[in-house]
Amino acid sequence: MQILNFKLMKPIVYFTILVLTLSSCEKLILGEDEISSPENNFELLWTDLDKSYSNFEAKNINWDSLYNIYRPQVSPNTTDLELWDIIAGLIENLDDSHVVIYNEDESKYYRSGYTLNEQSKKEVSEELISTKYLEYRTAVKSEDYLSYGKIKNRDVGYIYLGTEDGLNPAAIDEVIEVLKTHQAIILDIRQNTGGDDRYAARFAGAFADSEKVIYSVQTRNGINHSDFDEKNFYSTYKAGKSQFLKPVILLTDRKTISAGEILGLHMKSFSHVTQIGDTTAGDFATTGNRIFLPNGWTYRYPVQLFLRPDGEYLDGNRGNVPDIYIKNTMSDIQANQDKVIEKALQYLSEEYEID
Amino acid sequence: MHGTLGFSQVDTTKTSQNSLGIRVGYNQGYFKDLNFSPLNYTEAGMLFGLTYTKLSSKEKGVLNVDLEFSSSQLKTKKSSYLVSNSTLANLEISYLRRVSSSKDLSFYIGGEYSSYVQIVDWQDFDSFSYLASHGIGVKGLLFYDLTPIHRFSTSLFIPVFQFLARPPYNGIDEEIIENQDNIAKIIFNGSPSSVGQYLALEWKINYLLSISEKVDLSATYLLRYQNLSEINKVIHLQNQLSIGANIKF
Repeated sequence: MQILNFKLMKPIVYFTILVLTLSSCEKLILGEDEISSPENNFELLWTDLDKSYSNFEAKNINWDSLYNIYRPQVSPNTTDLELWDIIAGLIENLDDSHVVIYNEDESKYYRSGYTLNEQSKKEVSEELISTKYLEYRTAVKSEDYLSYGKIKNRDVGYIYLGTEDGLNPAAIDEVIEVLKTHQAIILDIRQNTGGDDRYAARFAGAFADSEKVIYSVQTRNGINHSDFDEKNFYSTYKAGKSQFLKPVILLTDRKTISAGEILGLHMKSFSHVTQIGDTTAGDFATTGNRIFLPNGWTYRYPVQLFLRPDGEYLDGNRGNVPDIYIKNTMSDIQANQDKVIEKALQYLSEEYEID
Repeated sequence: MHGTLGFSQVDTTKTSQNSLGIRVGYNQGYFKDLNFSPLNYTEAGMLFGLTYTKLSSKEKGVLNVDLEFSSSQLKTKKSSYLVSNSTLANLEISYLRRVSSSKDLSFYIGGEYSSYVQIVDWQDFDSFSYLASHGIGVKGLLFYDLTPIHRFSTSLFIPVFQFLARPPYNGIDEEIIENQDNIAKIIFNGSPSSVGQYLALEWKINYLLSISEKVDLSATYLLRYQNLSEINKVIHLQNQLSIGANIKF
């Protein structure tokens, strides 16, 4: 037993030293960690956006000149509150509501270019739509914010879709099955918060009259603002047993965003669809990972470039421009009037004699 | 090798011997992946492993299949809000031939196929990254018999030809978006890596105690190091301590 102990002792001592060494040398292995100074937090964010944000050229942004404006405002004595305002000021120049910064516990966030989107929340009322304009309204339980109904005293169906985050876009097929006897459908995507572009494509497939290329996507892949990978083209396609090819009115507002706008792109490519309302947000591009700063703040931004087939940028203040522009004011809503729906009904009556 | 051999108890006149082992342990490490975060992380969690080993006649060859699964938390000193998850699976299949032996020592060398996948995520994939490497490498194994019932072994595995799957420059691209519901397609979509680009090694030390003709107890230390030099650099070091039992048949 003594021999065993002697034989064992030496390797055990070496082993213990080895394990203790390897489990206590973070700096040696990973290198210095990022410091959480105001300057470093600003530098990390600015540099990361510089090398990865996708819409500098689409939005004609001179990121270097913005550095020269905002970087001097940051010093070692800058408080968290001041740094927050400086970074919010910096990203506001991007006018891109996909660019968002969150504080450490996400109790506070700042979304770039969001003023009009925020305002539009008060320019539509679900309750008003249900009580004044619909005979009935049925929620599709499997999906988030998908409901349908019938316009009072009109042979017109109504569908509301608030997000493309649902699980089963094919649920639209059952909705169409219910509404297919009506002469027209109003598809209301006002306040649509976006989601999965594939959901949008499948949903639109229930209305598709043709298959055509409607946009392309490229992902930024280099340090130059113009570095992107190859274009991936996306097309409309027919989905479901049958498609609703009678007149469709697409209602949009400023807060129709991201995958909501992709749905709009699909729908607008169909000859029987008319867009009525406000121009959409113009924020199509998909965001990347949430990025971390040493002070615990996080942020996100788009990393992709969305183009029309002719090469025109989709992001920027372009969005889906309506065929007929109209928007509600807060006063309209307070006066129990949704002028956008009323315009849609008027259009159906005048253009198609659908009453 | 994860202490599954029980050599001391082996009757070398037998044609072959199989053993099946199970182990549990603690995983501690350091992690940095610039695709995921600019920050340094410490890693801590549990691991679970299964091993099958087959010794050929007179211990001339060793076939080993090892499957490891671990789930750990990644913590940064900068913010408790940024605690993230790391999930790791590793499959190794090796065949080694004895190249020299003496009274107490035996040295084996051979090849190993390994398939390693680590996925890290924060807040339900609001931020994520992954490193998957699939390929072959060289492995050496040394046994040292202390007494008829005590044995130390140590092995070193160095990947040589690997297919690496990593997120693209910006973390996502159309391929990831299109295949987000099919993780297997993403993590097996690798490209060949050069030795200069991806450096990795795995070193194990194992102590084995035979408590009966049919059962061994084992204690294993594993050091795994990975260094990926690309735009989004990865450095990952793991220290694992595990204990287990092997049944020989």
